[in-house]
Amino acid sequence: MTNQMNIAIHENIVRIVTIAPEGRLDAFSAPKFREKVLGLIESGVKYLVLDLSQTPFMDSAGMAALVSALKQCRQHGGDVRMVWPQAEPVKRILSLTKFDRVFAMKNSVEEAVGSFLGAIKA
Amino acid sequence: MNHQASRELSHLLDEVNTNSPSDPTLALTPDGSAAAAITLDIPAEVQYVNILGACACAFLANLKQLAEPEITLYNLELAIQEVSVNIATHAYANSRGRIHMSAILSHQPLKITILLQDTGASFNPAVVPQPHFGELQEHGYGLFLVTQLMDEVEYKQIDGGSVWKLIKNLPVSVNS
Repeated sequence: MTNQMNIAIHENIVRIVTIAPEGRLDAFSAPKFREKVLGLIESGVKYLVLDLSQTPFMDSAGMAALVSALKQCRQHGGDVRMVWPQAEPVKRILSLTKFDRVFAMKNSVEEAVGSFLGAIKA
Repeated sequence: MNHQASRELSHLLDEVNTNSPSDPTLALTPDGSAAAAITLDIPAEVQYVNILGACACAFLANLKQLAEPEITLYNLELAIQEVSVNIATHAYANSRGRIHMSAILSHQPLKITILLQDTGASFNPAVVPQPHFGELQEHGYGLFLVTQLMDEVEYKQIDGGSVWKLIKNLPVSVNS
């Protein structure tokens, strides 16, 4: 009879990063936003929460940057959750352009992170 | 702005208020109520174009009878932003230039007319495809938004440039 015990330890660390543009996401600021997203993806992040809760204005260049982020995450096997903006006009634009069908929309960062964790466990 | 382009713009402004004097800064509508206008001229660069939409919205900010002001002003700002970015990045893709904006507030019906003029390369809005909604499409939403958010959108090539005319009928609050 042996008293030996093998202990196997596996650690899974999933990086879920929230990126929150606070202020206008437009043709002027979108390149900086894209650069930040690219930097995160190059560092190995593939699960992104795009928190628009503090984004009061967004034009089509800003929207293009969001789609680009989603494409890049998916290309790396990841995904994106988007937190609804607080500003009602921005919400309406997301609905008008049907971005709320392209992105998985969540009401808070916590809900978005929880959604990722649920999906990853499954 | 060259002389011919200036005359063209003046003609467009006159179309807004047919009884208005040639000076658009204070025109009279047919019923005699005052209409106001502002003009602004900025470098056509993306770091400045937000000034145009913000300025047009500030122009309407004290309009007490405006219904849903947050939505209406946002949509106006966004439409101006989209056209201005288009001018800065496409009309002036290979050159530097300026954007000249006139905003005319007229009454009965209450509406705002925005004229955005450039001297860059011409553009054909008819060839811009509609976005494929629900797909991972990055570009093509700008002109769609302008046409959805404004009541009338017109693009004209004039001598030495182009003019976009955007008209938004302003909703009036029932309590006003």
